[in-house]
Amino acid sequence: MPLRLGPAGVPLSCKGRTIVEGMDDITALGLDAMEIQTVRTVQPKHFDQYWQAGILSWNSDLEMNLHGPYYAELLGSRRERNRTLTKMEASMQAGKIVNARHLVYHVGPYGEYEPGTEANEQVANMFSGVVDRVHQIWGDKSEEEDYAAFPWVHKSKPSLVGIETSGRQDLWGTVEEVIEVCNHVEGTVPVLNMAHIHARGHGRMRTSEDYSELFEQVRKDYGGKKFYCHFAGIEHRMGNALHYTQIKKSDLKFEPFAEFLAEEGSWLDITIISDSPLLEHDAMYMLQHYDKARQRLLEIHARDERRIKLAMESGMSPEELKMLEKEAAEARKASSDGKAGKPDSAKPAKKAKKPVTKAKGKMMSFDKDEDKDDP
Amino acid sequence: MAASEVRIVAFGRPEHDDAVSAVLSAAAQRGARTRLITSAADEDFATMDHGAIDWRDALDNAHWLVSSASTPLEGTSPRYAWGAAMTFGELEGARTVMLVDMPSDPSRLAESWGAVIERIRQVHVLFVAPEAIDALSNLEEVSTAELLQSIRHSGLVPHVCTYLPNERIALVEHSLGSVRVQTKAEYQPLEWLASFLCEIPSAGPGQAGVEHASGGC
Repeated sequence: MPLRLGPAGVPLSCKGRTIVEGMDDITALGLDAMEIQTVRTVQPKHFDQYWQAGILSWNSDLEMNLHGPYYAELLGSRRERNRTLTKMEASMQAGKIVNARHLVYHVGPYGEYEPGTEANEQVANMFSGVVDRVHQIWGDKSEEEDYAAFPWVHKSKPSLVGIETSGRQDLWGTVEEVIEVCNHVEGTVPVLNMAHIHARGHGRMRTSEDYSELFEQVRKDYGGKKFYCHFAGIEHRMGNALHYTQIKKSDLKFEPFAEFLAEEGSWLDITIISDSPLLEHDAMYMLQHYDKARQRLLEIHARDERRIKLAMESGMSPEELKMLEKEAAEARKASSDGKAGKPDSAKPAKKAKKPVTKAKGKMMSFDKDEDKDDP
Repeated sequence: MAASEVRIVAFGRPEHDDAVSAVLSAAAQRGARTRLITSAADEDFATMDHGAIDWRDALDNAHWLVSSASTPLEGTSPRYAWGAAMTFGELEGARTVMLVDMPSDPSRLAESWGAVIERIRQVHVLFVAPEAIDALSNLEEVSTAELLQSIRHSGLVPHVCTYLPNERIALVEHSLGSVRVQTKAEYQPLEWLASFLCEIPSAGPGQAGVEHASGGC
């Protein structure tokens, strides 16, 4: 499964502050993606850096992406909308120069709109225009000579326009809304910001099954196997994101996501960007957890294979082994059911002796044997 | 928690002539335990050995780390130290207070604000000095009235605040709403920030807590 991980911005530990220096550091850390933050505005002086970054990205395997303005108001008044589109235009230009594979945008508050079809149609119209503009910027034949040194402009496909899920109830961008718009506008892709989805869903991303359900929903309703995600710790309340935190301090854990990716993610082609306050540190943390999850899975597979091999060596067919394992599992289940259903069976009677030992003046403790009662 | 139990660490100039030192001294007067981290006595601040600072030790048990947006403009070394302080603050549990003041060369505000924006996710309290509000509104292309709220929403900063000394008005945009109070006492803006930092840990939760910490009548 292709998995690319990287930070949202120049790594914090990077000695320099230019994008190219940041890319060098990212590669040295063993990461393979980066999302440039245009955040406020794209200034002409940044374009030199962007060219260099584009060339480096074209000559290496480092995937570049670009995040548009943080504060968008695409559903706002005409003035607000135009202000946002002006900032987006600059990021589209920068996206071409930097060879961005994704341009990520927020939509902003619902404004005058109620959540629903009308708002979604308006967003779809806006993004349809954005995609057209991106294609126009990338596909200008008259510029072919000017861009001879930058082959991706002719050889790569234009950047995909990513529409990011939002983390607050008053902002457009539930998973369903994003998928609906992406389904209607070719050239757009959903950007699954896990911290936002978790916050907006009152802490819904807890187990690997939750991730499985989410990706299944997107696969079913949107299709495709390419995914672009953001991950960070988050503080949230009443379905609203309050503050980004490092992953370790959040109730949004990466382990279940890693487990899902290792166990069920073979069909995915996924980029995960760390937008935690500890940018690259948390990206590395994610990489470690993914490796661990994969390692665990490999160990399980190896154990299974060895068991089958040993069974075959002793003259047992795989079907017989399967049958035997099924019987053993049923026996285990029956014995555990029996334990729960028959408190006066032999083992619990043995445990009943324990309070006598405890009564000898020692402090009460939750010892290991008692833990065995837990399912 | 009494003000005397609040521990504040700041990173700033050795001459104690910058905004972070003003906050530290006002907080110290209120009883907070304060510590300034700066360059060694025998080195220049702009070219200091930023790797020599033991941030883990400096931030041990600190409640707040106070930094100024102007510090990265002082030179490459202060800029590294300023960034490292915030990363270690995040790791050690100290909450970062970012003071956005007007640089001595006002034309460099975009540069200093850009440095803050890059690390906005590490900021817990963002104080905009009153003299920087107009210039920052222009940079952000929002009205002055919307500035604090727009920064809070776009950067998910838990507290974005300012203090207008002439009207004695404190404005705080926070995770649970907005506070606009007229303070009982008269403050200079940085004094008010020091008072806010000393009061907020014990002011209780929610809107009422923020109002109380802001020194409302």
